[in-house]
Amino acid sequence: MIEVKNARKCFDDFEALHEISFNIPDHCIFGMVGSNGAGKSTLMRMITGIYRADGGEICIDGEPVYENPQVKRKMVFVADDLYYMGNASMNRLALTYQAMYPSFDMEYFHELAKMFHLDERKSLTTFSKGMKRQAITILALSCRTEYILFDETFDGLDPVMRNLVKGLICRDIADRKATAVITSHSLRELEDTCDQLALLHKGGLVLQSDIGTLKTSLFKVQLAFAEEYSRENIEDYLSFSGTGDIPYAILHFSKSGSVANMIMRGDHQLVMELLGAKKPLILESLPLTLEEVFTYEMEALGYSFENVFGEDM
Amino acid sequence: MKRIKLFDKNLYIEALRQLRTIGVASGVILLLQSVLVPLSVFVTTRGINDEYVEEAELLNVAPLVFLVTLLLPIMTNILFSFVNKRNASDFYHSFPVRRETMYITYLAAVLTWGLGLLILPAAAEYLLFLPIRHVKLALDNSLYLMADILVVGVLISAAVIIAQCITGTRFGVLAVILMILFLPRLFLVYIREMVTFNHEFLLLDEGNHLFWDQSWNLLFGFADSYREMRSILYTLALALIDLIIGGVLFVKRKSEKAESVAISSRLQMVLRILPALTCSFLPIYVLLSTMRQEGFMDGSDIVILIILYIIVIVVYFLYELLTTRKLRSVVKAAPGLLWLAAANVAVLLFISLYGNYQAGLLPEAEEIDSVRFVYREASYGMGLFADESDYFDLRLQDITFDNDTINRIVSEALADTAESNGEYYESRYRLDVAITYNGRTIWRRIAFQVQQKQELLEAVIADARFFSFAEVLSEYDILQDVELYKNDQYSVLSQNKMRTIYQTAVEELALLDNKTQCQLLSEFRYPMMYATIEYQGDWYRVSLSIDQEMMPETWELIGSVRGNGFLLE
Repeated sequence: MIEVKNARKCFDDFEALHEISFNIPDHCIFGMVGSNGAGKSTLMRMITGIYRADGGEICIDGEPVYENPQVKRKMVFVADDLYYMGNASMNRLALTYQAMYPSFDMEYFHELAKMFHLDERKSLTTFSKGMKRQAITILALSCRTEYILFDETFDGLDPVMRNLVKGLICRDIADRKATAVITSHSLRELEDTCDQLALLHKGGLVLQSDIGTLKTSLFKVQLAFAEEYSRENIEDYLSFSGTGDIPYAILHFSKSGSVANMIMRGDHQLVMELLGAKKPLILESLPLTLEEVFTYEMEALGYSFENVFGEDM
Repeated sequence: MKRIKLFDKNLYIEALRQLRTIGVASGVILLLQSVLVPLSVFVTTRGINDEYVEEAELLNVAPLVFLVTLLLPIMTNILFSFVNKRNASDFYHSFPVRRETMYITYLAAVLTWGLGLLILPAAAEYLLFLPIRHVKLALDNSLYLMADILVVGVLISAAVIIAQCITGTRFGVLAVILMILFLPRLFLVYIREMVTFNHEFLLLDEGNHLFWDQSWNLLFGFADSYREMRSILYTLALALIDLIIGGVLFVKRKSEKAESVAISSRLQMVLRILPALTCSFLPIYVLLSTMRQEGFMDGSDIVILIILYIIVIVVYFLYELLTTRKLRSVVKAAPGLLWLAAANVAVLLFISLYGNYQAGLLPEAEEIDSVRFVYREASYGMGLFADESDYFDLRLQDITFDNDTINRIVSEALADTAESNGEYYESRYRLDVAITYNGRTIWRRIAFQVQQKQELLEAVIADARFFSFAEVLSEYDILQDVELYKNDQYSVLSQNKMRTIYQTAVEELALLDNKTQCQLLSEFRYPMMYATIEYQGDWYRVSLSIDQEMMPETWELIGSVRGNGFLLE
């Protein structure tokens, strides 16, 4: 398990990470999202022992990671800004990875290189941006480490390759019970791959949850009544839960003409039953994308949430 | 407590692999030299039939071996330059290796290639010279040269590591390498020169002084200190200190500092002051020399000084601009000029205070424990003996005198010289003297009056520690040449004749008392015999007046060789 305890990182006067704490459980694909400058890459570099935390602690399986070869041997990191040793070929890089990672699987490396149709003997400088990323991803996967960390890995990959890489990561996690940490500024990249997600914003951890809970925690309701109504009316309709507890929360309410859209958290079935009892003209429950879930959760937490997901929002 | 693994075999092999291209290419060139040079020597000497054997030095037959001095830092740069590329730094620091381990392992890889490139071609060359009859490769000299090359290479490599660890741009790295390697010694040389410029009679670089004698540092005084073990050891010590500093910096360096101009703004300030301070040596020199020569500064002097200081300021800002490439940071650097000005004042003050302190060391005769006359090749003609007999001045420096008369003369002449600050040099005899008093030794170039010099010479010859002239004249290694001189006529003798005449002269000289020997050796009376002798690797001259009465056999011998006409003309 990766434990991040009150991790803090400053670059001169700028505080890139502000006392972040969370755990990444074993055998999962953990996604980290956030806009540029949120601190994702910094956190990845701290988890991989490249950067030393200015405060707090980062432990892998209970041991601090910084300058700890035993721990670092368990993890391989694919950075956002790739380095491929001048004009080295994949084979040359494979030798380097093999020298550093005793678990490096040369056979698997050749297999993957073949699968991606990459020439192992060619210099990486002759590869396209996407091919370089594929090459380094292949090398990292061939290290067969317990933890694999990818920083903006899907950048520059075409959709086919993106799916292939995602598939490989998923297979690796399933077959070897490894743990993957993937960062992206695009939530869409991660929602179909990750088991857990964390949202970083301006150096802080805003939210962390597993995808299943996140996706079911909020729902969107579209409804219309024949008579005039307001948010207060809806809240009145739902005020009787029969238990004394409030089983819902309206995180977002918007009305256009007679049709209202609401983002709600709570007992989905009960809400639909209570609203249905009022004989609406339209009553429909719609699924939310992960981005919408994050956006409304953030609004509820009082974050100014413009551009958190960058251009993909 | 966990044991830290300082060496990683896998990383070592990986590092050797990284250096393979440059290593193999250089190795091929060096091995080619090792084969081709002996081959050409063999071809050119195979027709020679005599038994003459020349001892060749590695330096002469394999000059390319010097490449290793540069190859070591280049290889170091290849392995360590990753610290200044963000992606490369992250890549290498993500490896499961401690920084200490990486540092030592990489150094081991560089040294392995360096030693290989040094030893293998040299060994091949040595072996290939073995079958050549007329030329033998001197092994001891070769080993010294290899040690020199290796030590200098390691020193430059250490500077490369330090520079890579504290700066982040190519220009910055290059500038810092040069600063580390040259500035400390350059500062010392400059201060020494400025102090001795103000006080000419101070010989600060004598006595193997660690600070003032630049030949300690192989990089500075290679021509003087080549094959000197003390220089090899000193340079090695410097290299080791730099390697330790480099190691600490490498371990402490944060990966996120890659591509930063310097690891801290304070350090950047120091780095931009240093080149500017070096340039300000020139205006300081102008200031000191004008004040010394003229006692005041006129308008043109002030203009020159202002121009020179403008250059200094340009250098100061140029360094900042070239390293940061931002005009904004140049503006920000402006307050640092105050520190530069303070450093200038400090240098001036130090030169003045240290010079006055040294010049004020004037021991009284009774304070002096011993006196030694120092022979300097550069001071030819400044000896206690005749100008043409520098051999005796050389031998004289082996004697440490503890003689009241000598102490008195030296003390008086020193006080006189200090007061005049060397003004008497043109009109008096100059001698370099090492004076030991109160447990310390000072070296001074002292001006002696004619009377003082004569008195000194007599006291020296009368001293029990002084050698017998005839005895030391027999102690030469090779008698190179003997010439007879009379009335503008030179006569060069054959090997056998010159040996006989020289030997006879020395034997007859031995029969005379030391004072008379001295007279004959220092006076100009025809005929004169000039001998060139080789002693401990260098050539020296000896002049001897041949007196018919005191040296009858030599006189006759010369007559039989050159004819009596030569003697009687």
